[in-house]
Amino acid sequence: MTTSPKGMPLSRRRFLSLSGQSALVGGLALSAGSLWPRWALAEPDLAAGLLRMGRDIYPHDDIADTYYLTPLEPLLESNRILIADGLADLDRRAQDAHGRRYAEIEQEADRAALLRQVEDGDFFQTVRGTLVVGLYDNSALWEPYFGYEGSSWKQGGYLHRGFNDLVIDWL
Amino acid sequence: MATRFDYDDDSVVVIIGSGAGGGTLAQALARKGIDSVVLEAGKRYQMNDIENDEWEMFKKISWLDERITAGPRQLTDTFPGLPAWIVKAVGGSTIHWAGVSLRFQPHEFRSHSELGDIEGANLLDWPITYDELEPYYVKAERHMGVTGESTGMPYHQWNNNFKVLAAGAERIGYKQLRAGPMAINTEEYDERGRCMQAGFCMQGCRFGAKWSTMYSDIPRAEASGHCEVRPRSMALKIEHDDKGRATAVVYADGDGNTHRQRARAVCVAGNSIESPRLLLNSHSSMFPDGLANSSGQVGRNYMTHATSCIFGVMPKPVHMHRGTTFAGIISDEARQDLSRGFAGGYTLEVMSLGVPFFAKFMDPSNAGWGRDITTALDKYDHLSGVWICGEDLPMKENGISLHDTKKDQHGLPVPVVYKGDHPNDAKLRRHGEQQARHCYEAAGAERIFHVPDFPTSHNVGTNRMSERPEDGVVNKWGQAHDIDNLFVSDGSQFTSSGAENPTLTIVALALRQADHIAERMQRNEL
Repeated sequence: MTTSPKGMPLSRRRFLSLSGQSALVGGLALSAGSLWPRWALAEPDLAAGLLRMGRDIYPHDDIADTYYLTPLEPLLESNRILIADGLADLDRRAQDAHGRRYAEIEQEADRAALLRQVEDGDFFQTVRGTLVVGLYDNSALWEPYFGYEGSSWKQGGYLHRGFNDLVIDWL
Repeated sequence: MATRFDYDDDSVVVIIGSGAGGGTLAQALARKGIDSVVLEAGKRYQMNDIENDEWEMFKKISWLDERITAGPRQLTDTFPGLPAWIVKAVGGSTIHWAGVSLRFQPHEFRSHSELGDIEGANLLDWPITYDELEPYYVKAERHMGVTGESTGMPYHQWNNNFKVLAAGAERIGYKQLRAGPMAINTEEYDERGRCMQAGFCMQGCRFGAKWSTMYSDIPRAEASGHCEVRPRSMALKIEHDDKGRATAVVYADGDGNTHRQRARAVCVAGNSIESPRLLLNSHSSMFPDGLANSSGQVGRNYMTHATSCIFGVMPKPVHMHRGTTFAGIISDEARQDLSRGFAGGYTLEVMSLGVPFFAKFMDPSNAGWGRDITTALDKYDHLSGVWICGEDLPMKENGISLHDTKKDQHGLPVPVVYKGDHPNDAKLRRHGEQQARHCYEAAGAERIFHVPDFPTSHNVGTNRMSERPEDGVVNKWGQAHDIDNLFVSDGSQFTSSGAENPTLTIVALALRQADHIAERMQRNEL
């Protein structure tokens, strides 16, 4: 978490976050699902699997679900079979190892171990490759979450805004 | 009214490429009243096309035509279709370069004399010395507006990122720490404004404070009436007559129509992948192995620098994204010192990436995901980074070749870009990584990690200069040994890679080549 003072309102929102204590077990609790994109509500199984996977690949506990789900949605159009088959395969592996579906495994380390088994495959790398751009190229997250200020030329750069304001006082 | 030259006008010099080599050459020739047609494969962009946005600019200006990454290196797996991070636009990679303007060191022009034969390396002396090039370094520095002695412009103030690296470097005994020389104005110079410390140097300088042929050389050459730039014009083949002299360049325009521009001389400046590719693709019954390739060296000796990145997570926010992207240089390890266990040296250059590219590049391997990655990203604003720019040795196996079957949109064989480490490269890189880690340890970093190579921006050596025609492609003027009106005007001329960023040397060579071409024209030899 960054120390940016502007970071609080956005990054503290964790509606329906599946991290920490899982909200998923026992079926999807979609009462608060209005904060999921509409497509995700229409296809809760695929959405929950993809979301869990996205959060396991790039886990940032304080980033809300929608920032993971929105960039992943186009995959259900462009690569639907790859995604559906990939998630089904993950679920089979999860059933074999833990007797439950992938997204319902409680321990992150257990889920990550399953993902490591498939990380060299197209399915995994397609999801990851989509997310590495879709999540980190979202300017709404930059300053609040990462302390990255993005475009600066309109503000006249950082010449008078702290390009050399660091005082090294920790040595 | 823009100058137009006729397709059949064979009095023009045809320059292929408009970057550091081609753009500089066009302007230098124009100043002498020599007419040129510049064929640029990319589009023309305006200043307001330049955005402070890593992915947008990457998509907009990068050379994304199909290429194949090959060789025993991680890039083959991580970026199989993008071996190089260079630009396809009027201005070429001078839009993307970061402004570091170091001269080569004298010994780097005579690698073979200094080192003798090294097994597996294809070492050769340049056919020119540092002393011969020095006056052109001064001219290049004035031309580009390089901070330091030649222009009198002061170096930049140290930004936060450099302060952190420097604090560590000084503690481990390094002395040669400078925020220059950079071709980035610290005050108004040559009708361009001063640096606003905006960051995003590699996405193009929105303020025009960093030298680029996009807004320096090219507009002036065009305004002179002696130069016509044709954007979206991809050179396909250089033609020659039955005496073996270059006569014309066949190219495809943006609509796919083919044209033939006749030429008095042809200067190839398409960067170290496209330049040899064009020569190889220009094979004929007289030159079955490609133009200017009697030595068999066209496309070989591809060098990219031995590079690596080290990042440290510091105890407090650094905001490395503020200020110039490559803000400071440490030169203590740039010397030749065989006692370190390797030949050649390296420069440590402080660098930054924005969140989008940092996330993409931090570990692009299949296994590069999970908490190891995101805990570093969570500390993005605490990061400081350094890039190691080390000399890599020429090897004949490393190079550009044509794919047997795959063709690009113009029907030309796709280039295969093969590169592996010489054992010396690997030793130098390990030493650099270790020293960079020591710097960040001494600066109090809480975590230090390595970021693997990303697609290379320093591509040199594939049409190298040589004294003897059997050892290389061009002579000391960049003129092909085999064809007296065919020149190479970009970094592919380099005989060694040096421990320095290539652009300043490319510009110095282009200015020198322009003088040579003008003299030969005066003597009616061209």
